[in-house]
Amino acid sequence: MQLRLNTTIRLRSYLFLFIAAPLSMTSAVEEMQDMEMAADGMSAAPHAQAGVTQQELALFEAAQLVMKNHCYNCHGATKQKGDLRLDQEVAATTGGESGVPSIVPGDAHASYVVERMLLPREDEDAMPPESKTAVTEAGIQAIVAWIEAGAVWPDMHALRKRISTYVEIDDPETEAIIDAIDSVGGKAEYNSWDDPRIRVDLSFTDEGKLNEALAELSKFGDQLIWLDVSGLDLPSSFYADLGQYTNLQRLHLDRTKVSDADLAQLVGLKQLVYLNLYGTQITDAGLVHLKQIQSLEKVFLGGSKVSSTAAKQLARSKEELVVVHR
Amino acid sequence: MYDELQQLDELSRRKFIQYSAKALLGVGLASVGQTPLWASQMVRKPTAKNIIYIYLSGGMSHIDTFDPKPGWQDQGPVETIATNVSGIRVSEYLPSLAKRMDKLAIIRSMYSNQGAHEQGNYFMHTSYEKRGTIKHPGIGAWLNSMSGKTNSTLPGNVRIGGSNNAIGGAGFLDSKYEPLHLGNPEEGLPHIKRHPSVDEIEMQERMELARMMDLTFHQKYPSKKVRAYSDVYEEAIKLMTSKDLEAFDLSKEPPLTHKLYGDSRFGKSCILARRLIEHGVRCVEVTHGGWDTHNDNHDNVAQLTNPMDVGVSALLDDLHYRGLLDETLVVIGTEFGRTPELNSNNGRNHHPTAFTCVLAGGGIKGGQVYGATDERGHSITENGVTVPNFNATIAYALGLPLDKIVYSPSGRPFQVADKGQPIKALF
Repeated sequence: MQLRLNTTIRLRSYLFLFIAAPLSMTSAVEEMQDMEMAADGMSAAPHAQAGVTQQELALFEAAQLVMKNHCYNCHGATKQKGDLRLDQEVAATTGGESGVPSIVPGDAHASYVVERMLLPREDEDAMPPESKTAVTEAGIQAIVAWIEAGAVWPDMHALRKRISTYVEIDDPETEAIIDAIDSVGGKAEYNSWDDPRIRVDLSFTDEGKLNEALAELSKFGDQLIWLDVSGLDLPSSFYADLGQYTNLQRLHLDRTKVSDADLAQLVGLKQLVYLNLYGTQITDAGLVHLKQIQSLEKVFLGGSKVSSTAAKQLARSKEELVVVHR
Repeated sequence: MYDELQQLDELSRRKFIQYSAKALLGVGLASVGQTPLWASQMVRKPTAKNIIYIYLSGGMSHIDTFDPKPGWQDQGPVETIATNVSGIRVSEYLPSLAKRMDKLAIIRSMYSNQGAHEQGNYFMHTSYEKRGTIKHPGIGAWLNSMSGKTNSTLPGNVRIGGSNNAIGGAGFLDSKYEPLHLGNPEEGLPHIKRHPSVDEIEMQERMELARMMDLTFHQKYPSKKVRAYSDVYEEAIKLMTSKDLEAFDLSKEPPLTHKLYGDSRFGKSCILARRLIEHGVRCVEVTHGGWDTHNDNHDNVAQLTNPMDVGVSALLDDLHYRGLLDETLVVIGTEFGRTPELNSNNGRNHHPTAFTCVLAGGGIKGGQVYGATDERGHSITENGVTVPNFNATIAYALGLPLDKIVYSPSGRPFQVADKGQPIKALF
């Protein structure tokens, strides 16, 4: 690191510029950190389970729903009648005053909590007490099923994973190409959160990095469905290579130097629905090729050299085709 | 009912995503006897990758604009006119948009439970009620956090007009998703030039020095907020030398464009919004304020609608000709409608019971009206749309996962549009 500090005055102004703000943020930062730690604390379970099955999770949640409604008011975080807490794994499996474990994983009949719930309502030991709402048959069954299956208490982490149904598309090969394109200023992304096909926008690729980006792009092959190369100065090889993107549906060539002859390379794109040629040098002669793309539904010819007669003729050539021209 | 039926066919489309709900369905049903709420059927292929959100702050009078009531005694001096879609009529204040009705989907059955500006605005932007304990993110922050930026140098989220104190900014998400606020569209991006007395080398030295001084602090507090703070520096420097800066320069547009969008500040904001979208900014919100017409409702609404009518029409045309409307969702939103009855000042008061919002582009099927209000625009008579459902529709168009649970730093679960369901009839 090279530094030229000529005067102390300059140093002071630096200090003011860059140090004052972070310092004033300190308290906010600490607060944030506390919050983040609290959040992390929740995910750190007393003993993390390697894998909780979906079935175990479902059983746990069903049982918890019942116990929350019927047990935790008196045996929970706020009150612990008979020194008993049922909302925590350790406490529930040790038991309260009686010393009898409330929950014996894998054995519902040995679990005191089940025994007390199954007592006749008028019995003075019946739980919940007679004055409170009784647990329904189905509710007891849910608790029994959970205990019988091992009374698994999933940690927060497992619970979180379970709540979010989305397992993000996580294909390392694709991710690597996405990252590579990202590193040269382009943008590649999955079509949506449940769709592994790829959209790529290279129009903001860093200067001088276009060829690199195009080389990465070709790795997507038939995975590519959208491509935006608008405004770029593309090498002629780009058009020759287009045929490999057999599933390409949308292609932005707007404001490029695409020529009439280049359009011949698009004929092989059997899925192409959308073609943007806005602001290009395309003339009437180029439209011949477009007529051969059967899948085409929308063509944008605004700001090109195409005459309105030719544009209208193109639009008439196919029933489904919308030609936007001004 | 129609919507619910439409949702049923979507499970067959899963390919890569591992659908944990599938395993759960059997177990869940057997043990608890209820369909798991988390069984998602809501993601599909997105049609939009960008969004331009035109926010009419103050509460747009629905019955003087998109939901006119010609037979109603307090409709006032405003006539209705035909649009280019037969059977749909709007107020005469919207002559240009009427000619583009085939691109618009008007939702006349919006309702909210928030009757005050700030709360209503907050609810519209975030789908959550305003709380003292947490700040919820807006759609631009959700979009950028879930899908990332397109242009790596420009900010992914920009807000034009309105106040700097943005509702529905980054919320509890990373501060880097906070929208960049531009007060005046014609002033471009302020403070972007290097000070004339500082040359390139000295600039680099200063940055290096700053990095050195901040180093220990960053190591001691490696938290999101601190990181975002230094990210801002890096991004700012990148932006200062970027060729994409010209996106902010409206003088690059030909005089004809300026003429088409109109001379208003709102019109200029729309030009800027289009330029930013073209340069890869994913979310632009344009605020058009002053719709709180408690006094002289009709004069005020006429004055407010004119720039909107001209500006939004030009924007839609422009996006259409450039082939961008397909992938850019244009939203016209407001916090509530206004009362059918005129008050003693010839104004209309707040009316969250029924109001109108509009969607266009981004895969939305134009030329339709969704929902309806009664003969005076007071109550909804069919297909009521809650604010979370409206926002879910926006998120759905953008391909965002509606039922993905995102945790705030304090560990609380949130979703893009709370528990809203998209209105699939609009696509």
